[in-house]
Amino acid sequence: MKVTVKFYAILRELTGKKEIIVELDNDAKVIDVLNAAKKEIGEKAYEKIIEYFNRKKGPRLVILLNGRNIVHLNELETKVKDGDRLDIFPPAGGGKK
Amino acid sequence: MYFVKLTKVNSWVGNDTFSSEELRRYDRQLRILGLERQKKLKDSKVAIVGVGGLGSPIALYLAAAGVGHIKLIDFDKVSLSNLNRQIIHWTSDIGKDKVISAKEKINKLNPNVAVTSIKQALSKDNAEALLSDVDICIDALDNWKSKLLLNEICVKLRKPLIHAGVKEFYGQILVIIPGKTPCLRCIVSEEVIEERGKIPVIGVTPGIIGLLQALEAIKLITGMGELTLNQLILFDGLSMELTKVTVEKNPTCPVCSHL
Repeated sequence: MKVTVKFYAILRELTGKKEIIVELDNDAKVIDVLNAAKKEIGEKAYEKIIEYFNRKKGPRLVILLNGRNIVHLNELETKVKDGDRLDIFPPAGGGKK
Repeated sequence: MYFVKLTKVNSWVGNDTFSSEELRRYDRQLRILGLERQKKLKDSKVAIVGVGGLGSPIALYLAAAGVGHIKLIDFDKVSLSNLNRQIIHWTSDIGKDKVISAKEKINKLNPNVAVTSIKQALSKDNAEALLSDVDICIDALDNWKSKLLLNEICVKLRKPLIHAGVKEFYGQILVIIPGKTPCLRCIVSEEVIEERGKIPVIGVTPGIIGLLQALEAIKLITGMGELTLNQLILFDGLSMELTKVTVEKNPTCPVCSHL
């Protein structure tokens, strides 16, 4: 099956990609998508994505699976299916100061 | 289909709602809006929460467009490092309350607009009272704690909220209609934690994002066009891309799932 992964903002600099399509076996999870993406985005970018998603200090990365934040699903263990789309971005919190 | 004939604009002199000064002031947009929608702007009350990088262009353009009542909420004073982006405040305003500095500019730009300046930080204690009398709230805040509080209060009061945030060359916008669209808490995790230190930003970024918020506010008030409902707008100034990502409500959202 195929899953589309879209990167935004600083993640584009980090991964060197705007969008990739990842091929996976059935019954894959979000973490498997990111693992499979390593080939295209590199090991370092993969590790940063995991680190920024899991971190407790500083804003966490948002990973949307078909428009739902995976934090409200089953985090990185959320199952994906053919044709799904991941949108990954750092939420921007500024505006005033 | 929206354009109004020039002859009709001229025939509006002497109407009960707008003075001839206002008709001349709004001439270029009356040709699109017509009197009825311009009246909707005049009758509307918009809260701009945060009068900084985002709040500056929002306040100036909504005032120029003739939004009748603008409520400015900010506790802060103008400082030198604000001036690369907070264009409603000038060098001579350093040390002045932002809500006062902004009110002075709005009064000079369009004296037809009533401005209420609230020099307070948005808090659990004051938010409901401050926002209960407005039609639309605009999130021009600079921190997630306040942004999520504003979201919570807007959902509670069923007020439309136009959220945005910026950083560097990037920004996001979400138009929230409580009960109809995802709220901010549906999109960001509850553990979202503040940036440490000062947020770097190119001044043009909040300019662009703030004006997109102002545009959505005008569309919301006048009923024109399509609002970006259920869509998160992600702006990337470096690649000059604006992407609309379809988003869904979180059915277990602690803030809005009961609606």
